Amino acid sequence: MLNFVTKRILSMLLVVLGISFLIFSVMSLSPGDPAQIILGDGASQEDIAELREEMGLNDNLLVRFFRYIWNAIQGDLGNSYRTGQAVLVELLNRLPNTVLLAIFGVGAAAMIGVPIGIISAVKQYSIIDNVTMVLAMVMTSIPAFWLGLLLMLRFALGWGVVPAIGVDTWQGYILPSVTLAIGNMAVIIRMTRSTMLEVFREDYIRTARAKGASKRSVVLKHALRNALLPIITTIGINFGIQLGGAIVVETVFSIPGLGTLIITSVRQKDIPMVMGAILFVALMICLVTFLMDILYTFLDPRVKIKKRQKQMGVI
Amino acid sequence: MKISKEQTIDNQSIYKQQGQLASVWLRFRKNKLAVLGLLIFLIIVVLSITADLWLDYDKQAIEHNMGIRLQSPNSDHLFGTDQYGRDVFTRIIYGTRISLLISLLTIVLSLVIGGGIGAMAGYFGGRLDSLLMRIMDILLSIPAILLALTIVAALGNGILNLIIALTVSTIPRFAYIVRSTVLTIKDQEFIEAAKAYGTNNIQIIIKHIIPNIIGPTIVQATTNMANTILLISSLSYVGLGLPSSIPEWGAMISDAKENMRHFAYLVYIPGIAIVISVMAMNLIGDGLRDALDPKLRN
Repeated sequence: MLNFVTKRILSMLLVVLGISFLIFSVMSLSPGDPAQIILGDGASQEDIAELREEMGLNDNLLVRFFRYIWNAIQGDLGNSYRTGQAVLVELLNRLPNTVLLAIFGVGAAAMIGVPIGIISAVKQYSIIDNVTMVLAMVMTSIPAFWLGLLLMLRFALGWGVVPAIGVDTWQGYILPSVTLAIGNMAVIIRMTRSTMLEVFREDYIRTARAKGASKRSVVLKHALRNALLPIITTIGINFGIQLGGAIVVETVFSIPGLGTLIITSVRQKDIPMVMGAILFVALMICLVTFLMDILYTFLDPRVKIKKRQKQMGVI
Repeated sequence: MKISKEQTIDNQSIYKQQGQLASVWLRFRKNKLAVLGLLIFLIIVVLSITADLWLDYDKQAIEHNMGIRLQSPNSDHLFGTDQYGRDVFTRIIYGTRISLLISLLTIVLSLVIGGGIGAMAGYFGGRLDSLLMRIMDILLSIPAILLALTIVAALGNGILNLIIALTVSTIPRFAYIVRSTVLTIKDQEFIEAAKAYGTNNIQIIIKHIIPNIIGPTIVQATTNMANTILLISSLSYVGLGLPSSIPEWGAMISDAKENMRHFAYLVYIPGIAIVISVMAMNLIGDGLRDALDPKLRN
């Protein structure tokens, strides 16, 4: 087990390092001199050259990258080109909003999506199932920003029951959470349905039915328990994606989260901020995936059996 | 029992006579929603190709005409006009051209590059495989929109840069699907048999590997095309895709935001256009997946 965890942590760190290098090199392609951006348009050539030297911008890409990573490990993600504020502080300020949205959005999607997916699978090819599948298809085809605007038009601008933008009050979280939930729900419904259908075909389900277990017990005890792992993994991965992917929804509702931070920094060519934010998001996504992996190994007895067999030299 | 056995033999011989393509079509046709999706897709393609014949791009979709701004849908302007007096109907139709062209180019490019990477990784295996797939892992572990956003930010707005950004974020998906297909095929008996007959590598790839990759890749391509259309509009909406002068659906919605309370149709119409075209692609993808699924064939 320990061996497995260390291996996973190492490969996770490698992926995060890879992402950082990718983003770092892409950002360094972007036109515009950071020294110029910091000093403004009126700066003299000498000042710019001096600042470039001071910031180490004249070193080659690899040197700059490893210096960045070395600082990042020590908790220094640099300072914003625009505000001069420490990147990490700004990220931590914005983090709670994004995490809350992801919890509300994915949580609601799971609580509604999983039962719907189960019903759909139990009643495969029935009217309920067909309607659900078409609805899920529609939900995956709706762009999140448009759905957000539609909800805003009706509930905020039309009926005025919730604020249109911002999260000054708790009501502000409602519309963005619903928008996120609808997009995530479609994925969760489809995944739950297909996993349940797969499990229904297993021999142990036939055995359970044959020994006279009630339908309810077959579905909820025998099938759901076995289908739960892939479903939980899907929910976890969606949660991870939401941490970085709620960009559009955050923009629609002007929520001061990581997504809007990335958009504004990208527009302003605030490279340290963009780098820091994406590194942060990537790290969180990898962490969530990693936790899912660990959970998987702990919960699935088959993985343990395989390991025992390996120890005994069976496979 | 006897009858059903004969029937299956009969069916198989029909499939054989008509060829693989016909049998796929036969199964695809049974899925009504998939056929509807195909129909919608064909209509969209025809509209976008013939747009120049019956619409005036410069005059109706680009030029500002403040005299007729913000007119609700009427007989002259089927979908009304926007805040610059441009005809929304014309912009929607030209929008199909933009979305289709960019997503199609993206899919073809990422199919060629990603498919090539996946095929190499799967066929040769070993160190090359782990190196290539680790790089794909890295690309896949960032949400596509975030990756595309960063690339557009670095390269600047514009159609070409948008295509590059979208391609980079789509490449790993094709690499994975092609690699796993190649891996399952390459050790199967019929490949060994072909090798035993003395068929050379190139012939094996052309005759046996490629035909088997086509199915899963087409399914992947259609679903990815749907996702790409969504990505294009999302990027344009946040202002990092195409500029709002170009009639792109997401950019149109972004433009309409300010006046949305009183001119909601400016938000509704482009959104419906996105949903319809994305759904058509998704329906086709689902139908194709069922039609091509070898499990259903037996």
